[in-house]
Amino acid sequence: MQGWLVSTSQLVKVYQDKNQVPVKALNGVEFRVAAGEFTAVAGPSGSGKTTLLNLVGGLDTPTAGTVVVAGQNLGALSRNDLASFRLHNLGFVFQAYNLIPVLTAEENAEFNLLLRGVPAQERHTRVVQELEDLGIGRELIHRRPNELSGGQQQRVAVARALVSRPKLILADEPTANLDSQTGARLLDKMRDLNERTGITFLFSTHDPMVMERARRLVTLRDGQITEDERRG
Amino acid sequence: MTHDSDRRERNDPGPSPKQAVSIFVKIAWRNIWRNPRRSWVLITAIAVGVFSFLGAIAYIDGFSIQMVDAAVNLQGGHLQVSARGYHENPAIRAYLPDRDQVARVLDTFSGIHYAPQVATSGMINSAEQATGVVISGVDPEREARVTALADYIVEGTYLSPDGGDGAVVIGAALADQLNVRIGEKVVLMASDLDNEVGAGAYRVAGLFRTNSSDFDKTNVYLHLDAAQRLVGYTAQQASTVTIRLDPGHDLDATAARLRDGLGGAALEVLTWQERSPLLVMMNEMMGIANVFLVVILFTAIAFTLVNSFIMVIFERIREIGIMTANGVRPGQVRLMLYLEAVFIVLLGTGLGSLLAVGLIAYWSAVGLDLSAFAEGLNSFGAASVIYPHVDWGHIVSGFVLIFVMVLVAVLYPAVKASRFETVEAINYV
Repeated sequence: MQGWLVSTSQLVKVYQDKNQVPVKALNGVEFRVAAGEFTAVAGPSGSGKTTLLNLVGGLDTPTAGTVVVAGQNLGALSRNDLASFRLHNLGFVFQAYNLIPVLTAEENAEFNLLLRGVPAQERHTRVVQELEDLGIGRELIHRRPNELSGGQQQRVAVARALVSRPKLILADEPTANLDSQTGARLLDKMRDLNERTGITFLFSTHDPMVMERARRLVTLRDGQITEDERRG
Repeated sequence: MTHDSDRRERNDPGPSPKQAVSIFVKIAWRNIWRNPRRSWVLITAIAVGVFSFLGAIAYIDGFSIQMVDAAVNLQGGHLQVSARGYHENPAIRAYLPDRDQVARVLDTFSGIHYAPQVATSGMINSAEQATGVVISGVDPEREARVTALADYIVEGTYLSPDGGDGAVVIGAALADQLNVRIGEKVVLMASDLDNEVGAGAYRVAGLFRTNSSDFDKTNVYLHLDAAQRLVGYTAQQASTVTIRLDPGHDLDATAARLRDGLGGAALEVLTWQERSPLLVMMNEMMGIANVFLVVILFTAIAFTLVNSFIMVIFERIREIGIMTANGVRPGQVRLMLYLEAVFIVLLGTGLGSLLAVGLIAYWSAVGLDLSAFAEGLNSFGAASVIYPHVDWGHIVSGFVLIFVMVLVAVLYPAVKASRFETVEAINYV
């Protein structure tokens, strides 16, 4: 496990569906991600890709196996410590934007920085720069999510994940609710950031635009890795 | 690009508590106004509860104070020295044989004022009417320092200090009943020590009006020596010596010292509580009623809050999941919800207090007329018109209690919210 940013061992996750029937979403997955990767986890619906990301992000707990991220075994952490670990090491981009409705675009983007104690002036500078890089101009930063388009909201969510420069960004179907042009621009931005800063990106997707930009494509089927293709 | 704060964090990863709290204060405050209608319903419910609590407490306290004032200011002072058994059976034969002896002991105390009284049941007759009254003979100068009777003169004059004018002061309500005016004569009759009926004619010098119409109709006052002559007492004999203490004196301690000083089994010293046990019981019952009122009102408020916050939480499960995914700790989730509850309670309490202050200020000036219940109130020495009284101790206790109850009420929803599994919360529909 030494040297890997993410490492899972015999990772199993079993859910119970609405009829209380156990469903094995992940079945003994061995998965490694090195720092700096731009990796997409693809597969059909129900293949376990979102489950894998949730476990790597510490948002869910495995039924069996271990998840080690940045040298930390997530299973050994309490709820408080897990939250703190996510705050300082991870960034999340979700399919449904998931911004805090009562905060403005700027406040949503600076949320992690504020929790981490970054001074106000520095927060403002970083956030405004990040939002502008993502095409959210100053005229929009004081708007609340319900006053922004879907694409704009997703860009704010991406800014929130990026601005704290985490070690790993987990993006679950980030382009699912975006038009292709917006989605492409966003992905290019992420790719550029990966190349410039070395932030590791791990996507869960079945969007071809994401898959074609990924430098590594991992395919999941029925809870197991069936392909692991490294490119360029 | 690596920022200074990122480098600092490697050495000191803890967030600034103030900054972290500030974002939750902001979120909590804005969350209140996401659903203004629901929030205003909650705020109004709290305001009504607080308004009711403040109004009721002020009136109950005012009522209680008026009753005690009546007992102390008009009907016997803080302490009363009398012959043993006088209080149970205030017959004229139960008299103090030597009021000067009592005065000598009282003169050794500082911060007290005393006045002798002769009191007996009798009749008052005018040209048109007659009725039973309590006839009290007082030393006007001393009496004015002990009771508040002189302050209640509304027409004519109080008794003059020299006592030689055959004057009497009666209640304005009694004067109306007897159809007498200032300067007209009335006849007072009472049994004396020889079981004869003593009588005397007196000129009405003044009319008084207290808060109790019952008191006004049943009490007349004349000079001490005139009353002594009426009932056959000597100059040294009196029914009681009434004592008023300056503020800050311990009533029970003073009573104990006085009992020690007077000594003997022939005299007794009674506090106003000992003379009016029914009044004491009523005060205690009103205190208990206060507590019940507060608990009932605030329990209703607390249940309203619990109900609303459970709804709020289920509306925001996804949002809470996103926050925890981004590093918000369970304690911070609880903090956010508590802040929301506190803000609502502050707004409701502020609004209710504002309304209550206005009403109390108004009624403090004009009084609340409860004439419909005058007979019952007067029997306890309470006036027909009640003036509210603000006791800050009661009010602060009530506010502390409402905040405690709110925090307890919101505990369940807050803990529940902080325990959501992040992945389930994010995917909640």
